[in-house]
Amino acid sequence: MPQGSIYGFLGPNGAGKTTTLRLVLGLLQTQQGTITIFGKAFATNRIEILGQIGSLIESPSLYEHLTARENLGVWQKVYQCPKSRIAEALRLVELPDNGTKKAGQFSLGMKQRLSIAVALLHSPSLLILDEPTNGLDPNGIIEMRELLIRLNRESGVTIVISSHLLAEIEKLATHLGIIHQGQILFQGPIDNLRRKQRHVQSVCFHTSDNETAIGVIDEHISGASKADGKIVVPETSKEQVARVNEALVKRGLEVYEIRPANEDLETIFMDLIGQS
Amino acid sequence: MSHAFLRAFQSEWLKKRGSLASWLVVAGSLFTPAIVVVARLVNYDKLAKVYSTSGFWNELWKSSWESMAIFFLPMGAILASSLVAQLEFKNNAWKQVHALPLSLPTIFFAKLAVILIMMAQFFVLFNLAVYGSALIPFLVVSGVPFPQDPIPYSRFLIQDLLFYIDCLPIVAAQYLISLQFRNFLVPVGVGFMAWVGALASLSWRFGFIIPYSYPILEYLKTSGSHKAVIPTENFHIWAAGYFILFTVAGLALFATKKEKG
Repeated sequence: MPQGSIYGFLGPNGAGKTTTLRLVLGLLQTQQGTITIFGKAFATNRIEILGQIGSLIESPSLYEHLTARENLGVWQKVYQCPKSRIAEALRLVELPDNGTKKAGQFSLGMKQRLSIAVALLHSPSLLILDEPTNGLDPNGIIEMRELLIRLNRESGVTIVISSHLLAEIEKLATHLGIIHQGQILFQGPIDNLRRKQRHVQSVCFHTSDNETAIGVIDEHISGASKADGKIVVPETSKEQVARVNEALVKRGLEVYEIRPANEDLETIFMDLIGQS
Repeated sequence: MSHAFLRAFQSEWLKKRGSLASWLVVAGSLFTPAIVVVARLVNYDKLAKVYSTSGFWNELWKSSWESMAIFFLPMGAILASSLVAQLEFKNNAWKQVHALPLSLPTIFFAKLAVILIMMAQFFVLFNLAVYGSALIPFLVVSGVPFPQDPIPYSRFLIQDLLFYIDCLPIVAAQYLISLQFRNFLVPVGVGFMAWVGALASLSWRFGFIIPYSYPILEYLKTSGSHKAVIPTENFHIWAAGYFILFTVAGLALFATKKEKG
């Protein structure tokens, strides 16, 4: 994961996203292999590495009987960062100073913001966020996205963000990791994934007689199906598309449209998961 | 004492501000002296005689420690230790604590130090409250003289120290259990059962091997009660030994926990 990137960590429920992030933070013991962060082995440099990481794993970790400032004070004591960072962190997440209001009385959105402020308090180089938009309303999700992009651009913080909201990740991440059943299926810049998928991708055909056409296509490629009045053919190379088109025309069918199937991240993601 | 430990301790100390555990220390330490004050004010007509009697302070000390040693101190240790660990479970904060740049022993001992200092606060407040329970009736009820006996400070302080040592195994055992279980009822339930076990074993010759029995034994020993078999062994050494044993075991279990938070 390159420094300064926003790494979206995608996978269906139970794929191993949270487990991976917990392993990275040392919250779970590794059964085999080693974890390397900032070029150093985590097992032997745990304290040094954790000093440069801010994290939010699943639900917020806030002391509900304390105020927002007191919550940040708890972590400020350990990190020994200047006290002025408390106000800065609150400002950064645009959380108003709620005075004596306890964190337990905050809305979920405010709790998430405060949790991000905790993660940012000591100006970490790496921010690990597990499903930070969980429970946020659409406006909260947009604000969270803008905050993370701003942090990444202005402070150069490397961000790892896991989410089940694929569309959300697509708008945010520069790099992507796709995990399924504990295996990484893809890792790299988002554009690489799109490029890779263009080589072997589902294709839509629209003809004058789709019933006949699907039989013709089946002679060349298996797995064609009808959807929304069109024929969708999975995992098709350019050469196969040309051969199918030629066969359709030879049978006297009129081919109105041949185009790649939807190539948004969600489709690509589902294709990858399906292939695995 | 390492710099990291001090930082962790400061953080832990801030966490308990306004928590149930911190209020428990105040309420638990003031309860018995408050009852003593109320009882004396109700029987105000007998106060002049009580305050003129020789051995006033010893009697006050003994009556104040009775419920404290037998009930409030063991229960206070059980609840305070459990509530401090519960702060993390209740707020889903263990994962954040374990992601701090602190070693596991530092986290473990910082929390334990907070509990031990809270227990010390409990003793200080209780001592002040006992003095206050003598002072208030003297100030409020006319004609009541101030006790003529000097306060036996050194004896009281030594017994404070012995009671403190005697409650340490309860603190360490409860802390060990509380770190392992998310459900608050488990450590409290185990603690309560162990306390009942200690009470039940008082007349047993080997009752002193029950780690929750020492504050009760110390009180019964000094009050001259025959309700328990007072061991000839120095049970304060047993208390200190159990404290070390439970602390080491607690640290080992805490450090080797597979899933942290």
